[in-house]
Amino acid sequence: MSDTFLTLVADYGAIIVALSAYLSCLLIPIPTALVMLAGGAFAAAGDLSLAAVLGAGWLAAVLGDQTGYRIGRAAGPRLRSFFEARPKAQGLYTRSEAFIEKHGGIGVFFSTWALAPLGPYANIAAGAAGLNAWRFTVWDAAGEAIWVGGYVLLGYLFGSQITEMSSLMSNVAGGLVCVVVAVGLIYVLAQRFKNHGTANAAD
Amino acid sequence: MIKFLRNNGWLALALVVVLALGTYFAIGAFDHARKWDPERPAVVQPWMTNRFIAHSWQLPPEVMDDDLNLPRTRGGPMSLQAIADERGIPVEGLIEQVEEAIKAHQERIQ
Repeated sequence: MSDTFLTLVADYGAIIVALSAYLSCLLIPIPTALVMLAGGAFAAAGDLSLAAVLGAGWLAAVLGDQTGYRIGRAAGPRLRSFFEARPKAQGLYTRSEAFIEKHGGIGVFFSTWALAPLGPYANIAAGAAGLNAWRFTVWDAAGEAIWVGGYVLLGYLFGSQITEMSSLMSNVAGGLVCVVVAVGLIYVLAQRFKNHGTANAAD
Repeated sequence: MIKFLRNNGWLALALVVVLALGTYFAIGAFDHARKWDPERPAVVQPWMTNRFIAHSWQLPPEVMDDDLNLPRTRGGPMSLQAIADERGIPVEGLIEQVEEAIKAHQERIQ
């Protein structure tokens, strides 16, 4: 599948870079990192304009994230009434909403590049929790600039090794997500263990 | 402790799975980084364009224009696959020609 996408970038240029960036924000499985690397590599070879690759990739990624955010926003009221009907889950939902309102901007920023595999979910969650649209857009646009710029630049510098670079980066990205999820789980388990100890002492 | 684990079994199991996955990715990343060699020559692939090949192997215009009839100044970018399709030849044959031209060029400059 990777070769097919590389051939598409070679033959159709920045439009494929833009389409990949947009669709991957909507959970459609496309090797977008490889496409960005290819865009940079073809720009270095003189096939594509570096500005066009960067501009198309960034704009499409931001538009894709906006679409995810809008989907979340539209689904928000339904999600809220779903959780309001379940008192046990309602507390968790309210806490999640408050957390996103307080830290959502920086969360969206990191979800676009450092934790890119979680990006599409973060956009929907931000929309559903009602994160301010301007805050979302500013943090998201800044994060996407790092993600698109980083991969295109790597492709520009390591043109002939982009497939190896893509494999390396996908392992790094997967590893980073695991580290963050593990830290979150350890935090929740530690909190519960503390409460468990307090409850036992009270008994 | 057993009571705690019984009450939070799913979370503990999720943590074990995430840690195992993380280890898998870390080993993969380490393995790729260890084998990384920027000097290693790339392999000619059907997705590569004429300019990409010229850039990657630092081939002068005469190799592309005369030896391969793949002038870098032609219109928009085209992959070897598209060029082979246009010429009605198998891409493997075109790749072979490119590899031979690269080899001949490298022997000339040594």
